[in-house]
Formats: sequence, structure tokens, C-alpha cells
Amino acid sequence: MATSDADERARFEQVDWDAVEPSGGGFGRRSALFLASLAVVLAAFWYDFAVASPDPLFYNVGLAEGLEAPFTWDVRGIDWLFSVSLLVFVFYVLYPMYENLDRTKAYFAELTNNRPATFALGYVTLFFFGGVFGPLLAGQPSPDIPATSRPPVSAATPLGRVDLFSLLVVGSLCALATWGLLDRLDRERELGSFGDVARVLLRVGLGFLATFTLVGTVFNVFSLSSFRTAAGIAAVVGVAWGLRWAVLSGRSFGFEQLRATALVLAAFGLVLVVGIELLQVVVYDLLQFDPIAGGASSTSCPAYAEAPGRGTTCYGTWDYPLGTARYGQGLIPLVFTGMRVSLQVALICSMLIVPLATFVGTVAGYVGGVVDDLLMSYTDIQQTVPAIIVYMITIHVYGRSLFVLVVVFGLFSWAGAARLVRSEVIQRREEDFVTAARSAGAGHWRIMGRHILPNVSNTVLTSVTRQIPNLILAEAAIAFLALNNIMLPSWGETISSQLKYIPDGWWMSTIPVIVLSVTVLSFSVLGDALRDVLDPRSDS
Amino acid sequence: MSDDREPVLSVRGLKKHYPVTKGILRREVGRVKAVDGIDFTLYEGETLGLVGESGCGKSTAATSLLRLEEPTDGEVIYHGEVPEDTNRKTPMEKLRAIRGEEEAREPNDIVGFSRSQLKRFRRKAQMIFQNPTGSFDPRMSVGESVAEPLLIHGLDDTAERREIAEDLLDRVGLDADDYDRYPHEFSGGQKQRVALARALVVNPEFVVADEPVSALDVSIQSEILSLMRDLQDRFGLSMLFISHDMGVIREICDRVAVMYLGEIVEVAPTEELFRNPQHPYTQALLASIPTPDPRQRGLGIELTGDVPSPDNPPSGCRFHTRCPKVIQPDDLDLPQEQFRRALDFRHQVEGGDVDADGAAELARARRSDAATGDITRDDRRRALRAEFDLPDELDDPTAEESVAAAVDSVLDDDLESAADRLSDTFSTVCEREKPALERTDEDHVAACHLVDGTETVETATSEVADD
Repeated sequence: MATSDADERARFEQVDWDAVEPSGGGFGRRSALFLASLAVVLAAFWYDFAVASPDPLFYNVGLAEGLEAPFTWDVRGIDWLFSVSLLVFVFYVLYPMYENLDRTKAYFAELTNNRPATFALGYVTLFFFGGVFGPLLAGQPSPDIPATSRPPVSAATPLGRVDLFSLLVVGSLCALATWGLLDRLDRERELGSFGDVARVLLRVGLGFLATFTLVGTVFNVFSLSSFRTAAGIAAVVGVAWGLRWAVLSGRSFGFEQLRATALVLAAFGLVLVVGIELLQVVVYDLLQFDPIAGGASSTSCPAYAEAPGRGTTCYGTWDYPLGTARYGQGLIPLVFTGMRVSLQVALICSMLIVPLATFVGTVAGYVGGVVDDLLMSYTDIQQTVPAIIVYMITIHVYGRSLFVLVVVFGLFSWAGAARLVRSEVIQRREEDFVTAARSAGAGHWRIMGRHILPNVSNTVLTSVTRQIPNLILAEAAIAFLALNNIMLPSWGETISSQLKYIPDGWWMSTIPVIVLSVTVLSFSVLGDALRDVLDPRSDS
Repeated sequence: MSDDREPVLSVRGLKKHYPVTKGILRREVGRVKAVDGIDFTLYEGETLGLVGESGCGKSTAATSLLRLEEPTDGEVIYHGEVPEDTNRKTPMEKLRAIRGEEEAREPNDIVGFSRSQLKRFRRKAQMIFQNPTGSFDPRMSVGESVAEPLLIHGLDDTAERREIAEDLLDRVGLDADDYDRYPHEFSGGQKQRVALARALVVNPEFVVADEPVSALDVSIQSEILSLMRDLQDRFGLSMLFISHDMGVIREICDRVAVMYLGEIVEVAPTEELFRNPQHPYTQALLASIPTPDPRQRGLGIELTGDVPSPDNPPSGCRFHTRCPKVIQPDDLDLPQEQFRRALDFRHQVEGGDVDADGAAELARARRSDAATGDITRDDRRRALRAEFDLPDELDDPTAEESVAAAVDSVLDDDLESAADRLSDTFSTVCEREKPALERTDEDHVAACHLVDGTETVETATSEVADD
């Protein structure tokens, strides 16, 4: 019965167990890569701390080479933490996702069944790249007093003057409304056909954004070329990717798609007209949020931006597409540096919360008994201490900084997650597969590492994703309480300092408020959706 | 049959007690005696069935003999090659050895194995679980699960592990391509095949199968059973097969050990046990097998009373609270059924499970026209007797007198004197004396006062061990 082919294969009876010599542990490829990267970061930190100090680590880089704007970056504690957390994120979130590509794809498919979660995931991705590369692309929000209080750039339309920011917000809302409307009117066929077109456009857009971010950052940091070149390259890459997908996906694009696109665009145009009219009536006339800098007068308008008959006030210009704050800081740099701060809060706090919660929860749940009692009593006690109180005390000792904030909030926010992990571990510990592993001879560390941890990782991920909006809001709240480092242009700081210019300088605070709200909302929606997708109890 | 075979494993006096603790200091207030001193021997190449009701300690016996849980007491002698000990003793262990606190154990006693010995021993003993869904890590592909024991025991070559696992999946009736699939993609029967593959992968000497087919459909059951028998024959495995299903036991086991409340009450070759069961509990279990013949329905022996709790097991023979053949004292001459009922009544009275209010309620429930007339004492008396299936007049005058007096005491809410009265009359040797396992036939032992054996099993097992 056994074929010759089968004879050549290794069979379990043939293993000579007396000859088996375990070669001992060793790091996996992932851990090795991670440790190597970590070593590089630590070496740079040591160099900064012991050799370069007190000068910044990067001090006028490129001056000798004759660079016009030499690169200076004083890498601070928070930046070091941020680099480490980025490494952790790459090696312990993105890399495993890449390694288990099938499972990632399955989860992704399930997540995208949930439409709000899809948008949330898209936004969170943008948020991540915006936070990492945004400040490098947009630069620092440095004051520019002559350009004080410029409104977002606006254009005259038949429906009245509309500014860029309002157009973006109204446009997004109108796109959603059009979708809902067509859905309600049973235009599924058109929506489906347009969906193919939209998928191509989406890829063009994503390709453009990704390329532009990378190329633009390189061009900007090394002053190689202008954004125009970067945008050109990015556009070519985006279009190429979109077309490639359109060809490879095997979808037909013909008259049907054209008709659907025309119909969708026509509907969108109609809704947009209504939206802009509403904007004019409600926001501009009733709430007096004007695309013209009203009372918050600009002292020096360029001649082409003067608003006729409005005294010294002026329209926005393309120098500052989203306008400027009171001291002339561009709002685009403000938004991106705020994004960096929020991303730092989210990533570094997670980097502290996840290992702490996992370790405490796993040990408490797995060991049980007195250890469990002690650890859980401690988490109970710690939960009664509000992190913000600890922060207020700490800043009296160490001064105000984002570093103190993330460390304090990271170290004081893991108790809830640890409790969740513990209960999950207690459930898992009793399952037969753990007994099976033990009867196969596995030790406690192996069981915890290979069987328990992978099974509770979803719980941790979900719990942390749901914790992130609270942390970002806490940072904003601290800025609002004026307990933050006011030199750091976080969203909270911008909002609280620019809020007093409402309604004349409305854009100065409204733009960060909207971005902050969308961020918090996205993380909450994503956290809920992740719980539905990843919770192992729901798929059994 | 057992004479010409080498033993693989002898279990002697194995006990597993779970302490019941209370308060912050975890003071022990009681013990659940899940397994309370069991003896049996597993011979090479045979399948020994361990059968009993749910909660009688079968699974605990399995996990503690493999030391997945630390046994409270007893010995598990492994007759194979004793794995070498490579652990260095920790200072605590040295101290204990010097002070002589450590019990002296046989070198081949699994209970005394060190950590490194135990790990090596795990390769020789594998386990299969009841729940095919729970016994696989949902985050591991089944191939990884099957190959995991290889990795644990030091086979570092990934490709070789994969090859072995694929080959084995193939041989248990699955596809080699199933290596990369996840447990949720398989049916219960397929998962149990994978479980077999995982148990076999390290080429063990014996396998403990804990109800391996009870979660499966009947048609799948027989498939898995025949596969198990097949593999067992091919690889000369010994197997301890735990089940509550006498039908399954009959199909696969060579010998059967019957367990009741943490003790083994009867051991016999399967044929012999089914033909000639000695212990009343075994008889009841056999009678509970459903017969496909509609003319033979309802002739089984029905057990009365609740299963006693293992935290306070009955004295004497543990089965005496439910035994239909419980022995009457010499001075009584009741029909067996009436004596059984009277004993049930006595246990309920002693346990405080009946009282005057309860009797009144029973009487009210029995009367269809509750509105007319009060409930007389006579009504209550009759209701109480009817509740325990006691006739209005017992056949033995002494017994009748005692029951009548006890019923009256209960109605007066004087449970104590009722209990005294009943225990004076209805006492049994089964309650006072614990029956030893006695040999009735060459390979047949049973622990019951009704069994007239020649030789106790303690001598039998030690003889085997001396070989």
C-alpha cells in the first residue's frame, strides 16, 4: 500500500528520540530584527546623551555642504520614546499582520463589511502617516506676524464666496449624503458600477498620497526639489497603480460605468449645491463664520487679497490654504504637528499599556491564587488614582512636558485592560488545548507564550484601541486646563489658545476641533468594530 | 490473559482530593475526594476501559495519573524505561532531602518524577480529550498543533516536523494539505482524527483517551473507534479508555474497570463483565444500556436516591445509599424493594430533607379537591409514605412499627428521634464496613459484600509488581 514516495518521507516511528538533541532556543527573525533596530536607536540615544549633549543631535546638518536651510533637530525624550514605540508598532503589529497575511485579509474583509469602520480605518491610516510624516512635509508652525489671522483660501462662486475648509467639510458630508440618497432610491446598480470607478480612483488617490508623503518628505528634508516635482511623481505613480489595478482586476469599464459615474456625479453636484447654500445661510449668515477675516483684522493684506469694501480685512490666499492663527502660524503645520502629538500620545501610551496589561493580566490569570489576589488588589487601588492628579503633581517636580504626560497616562491607564486580559486568560487556562500542551510536555512559559498570549492578543488590541481616544482627549483636556507645555502646538493647545477669536477668527480653533473630533470618533468606531471582528467569542 | 503480558503502568492507591477553602487565609474546611484510592494495572497492548457516571472521578483519575494534576497520594508505577533525571536539585529540594521530609518513592514512580523526568515521560504518554473543539488552539493551524509535541521534545528541524505531521494527517484519514488549515474549518470527527495524530506523533507507549467519542455523532463514533483500534494494533499502543457509555466500552475495550464515587468497584475482562457482572452498580450500569428491541424496554434496574457528593462520601460501601441489593440486617425480613425504600426514607430524614411542613404540602398536592375539608394527620402520614413509595403496611412488623413511629415523629417535627428510630431498625452491613476488592474469577475482581471472593486484590497487584 505504501508507495515508494511515501517511504522516503519522514514518519513519526522513525524518529530516534535518543538521538534528538535540541539545539536550544534562539530568537526568531522578527525578534532579531527588532533587537537590532532597538540597538541602533539606543546607540544613537547614548551618543546624544553622552557625546553630543548639550548640543542637539542634529545640529546644522548640511551647513558645511552649503545647504541653504541646514537641518537641526534636537531629539528629546519624547522623540526617543516615539522612535521606540514606532519600532514596536512596526515589528509587533505590522510585521505579524504581514506574516499572517491570510488572517489579516480575512479580518480586513470582515472589518470593511462595516462601512463606518472602513472610513474609520482609512482615517486612522491617514492619521498615522500624517503624524509620522506630516510635520516633516508641512514644516513647523512658526509665527509669521505680518500674515496674522488669514482666513482659509476662498473663491467666489455663483452661490457666494466659499472657503476651502468649509468646502472640504461640506463636500465630504455631501458625498456621504449622495451615497445615502442613492442607496435610499434603490440605485444599487449605479452604485455598484460606480464602485468600480471609485475603487480605481481610490487607488490613484492612495498611490498619490503614499508616494507624495515619502518623496515629498525626502525632497523637503534634504531640500532637493519642490513639492511640485514630488506631486508630479506621485501623480504618475498613483495613476499607474490605479490603471494597473483596473487592468489586473479583470473588471470591465464601459458605457455602464460611464453612465453610473455621470449619474453619481450629477447627484453629487445637486447635493453639493444644496450643501453650499445651507453653508451660506446657516454658517456664514446666521453664525457669522465668514470666509473673510472680519474683526480679527489682518494688518497687511497682499494687494490681490484685499476684500473690497471691508476695510483692512482680506481673503485667504494659497500661501496659507487653511489660513493662519493669531501669530501667523499656518493652520496646516498646526494640524500636522498636533497630529504628531496625538500620535505620540496614542503610540507611546499603548506601548506602555500593552506590555503592562498583558504581563500583569496573564500572570494574575495564569498563576492565580495569592499572586492573582495581590496583583488585582493593586490594580484596583491604582484605578482609584486618577492619572490627571498624578500628572498635576509630577509637573511640579519635573516641569510640563509631553514626556511626563505620556509616561504618567501610560503607567496609570493599564488597569482596565489588565483586568480584561486576566479574565480572558482564566477562561483560556482551563481549556483543553492548554492541558493538551501540558500533556505534550510544554512548560509554563511555552504555554503562556505560544497558547495563551496569541489568544488574548485580540482582547488587548481591542481594549487599547478603545483607550486611545480617551488618552487623546485627556491630552486636549490638559491643554484646556492650561497644565500643558504651551510651547508644544498640540490640538488642545491650539484650540484653547485660539478659541477666544470666535467668531471673527473662527477657523483658528474650528479646524483643530474638527480634526480632533474626527480622530477621536474614528478610534472609537474602529475600536468597536475591531472588538466585533476580533472577539473570538463572537465567531464560535 | 493478563499473565502473558507485560504491565505498562500500575496505579496503586491513587488519590486526588481537592481542598475546599474558605476566607482570606484559605483555611481548609473540607475536601472533595474526586479520586479516593484506586488500583489498576494497564498491560501492554491492551485497552482498559474506565467507566462510571459523570462526576465519579474518571477524568480526574486520568489527569492525576499523568500528573497533569498533582495526585494527593498513591503511586503510579511506570514499567517502561525510566527517563534520566537531568535536573539539578534546587536548594529547597536539597534541604528537604536532608531533613528527610521527602517521601521515599520508587525510582519508577511517576508521582516522584522530577521536572526533567516528567518532560521525557510525557513523550511516552499522550492524552486525547473529550471536546474536539476545545482541545485545539484556535490560533494554531492543525498541522502546527500536531507538530508541536515534536518541537517541545526537541525536534528543531521545521521541514522534518512538517513532513512527519503531514504523513500522520494522511494516515489518520485526513489530507496532508490540511496542515495549514485552522481547527474551526474541521468537523468534530475530523478534529478527533487530528487529536489522534497529535497523540501519536511522538510515538507514545500508551494513550489516555478521555471520552474521545462522546461529543460525536453515533455514526462518526464508530468510525473513530475503528480508527483507534486500527492504530492501536499497528503501533502496539496500550490505551486507557475513559467513557460513560457502556456500548462504546464494549466495542473497544479488552478489560473494564468500573468506578463509582472515586473508587473502583469492579474490574473484569469485557466479555466476562457483560456476561456476569458482580457488583450491583455494574449491573445497574449494564441495565441502563438502551436496547433496540422494543419488547425489552423498561426492564432495567433503576437506581434510587441522588448521587452522593464526593466532598462527604457515604461510609462503608459508597454505593449503599443507592444500591438495590443493599444487605438487610438478620432480624428483618422485608422484600428487598421495601427495605431499599425504607433506607431512602431514613437517609432523607437524617439529611433533614423532609419535615412536617413538607408533608403537609405533599398531602395538599395529593388531594385533588383541596377546598373541601382540612388535611388530617392521616392524610399527611399517607402522603409522606407515598412520597417514598412505602406501602401503608410494611411486611415486617418490627419494620412497620419503626416506620410508623418515625413518620409520626417527622410530623411532630422531631427529626432527631425519627432518625434514631430508623437507624436502629434499618441498619446495614454495607454502611458499616467497607468491602475489599475480592477476586471471583481469574481476572475478575469486585468490591461488594455480596461477592464471595477468594483473594484480595492488594496481594494480586503486589504479585504483579514483584515480577
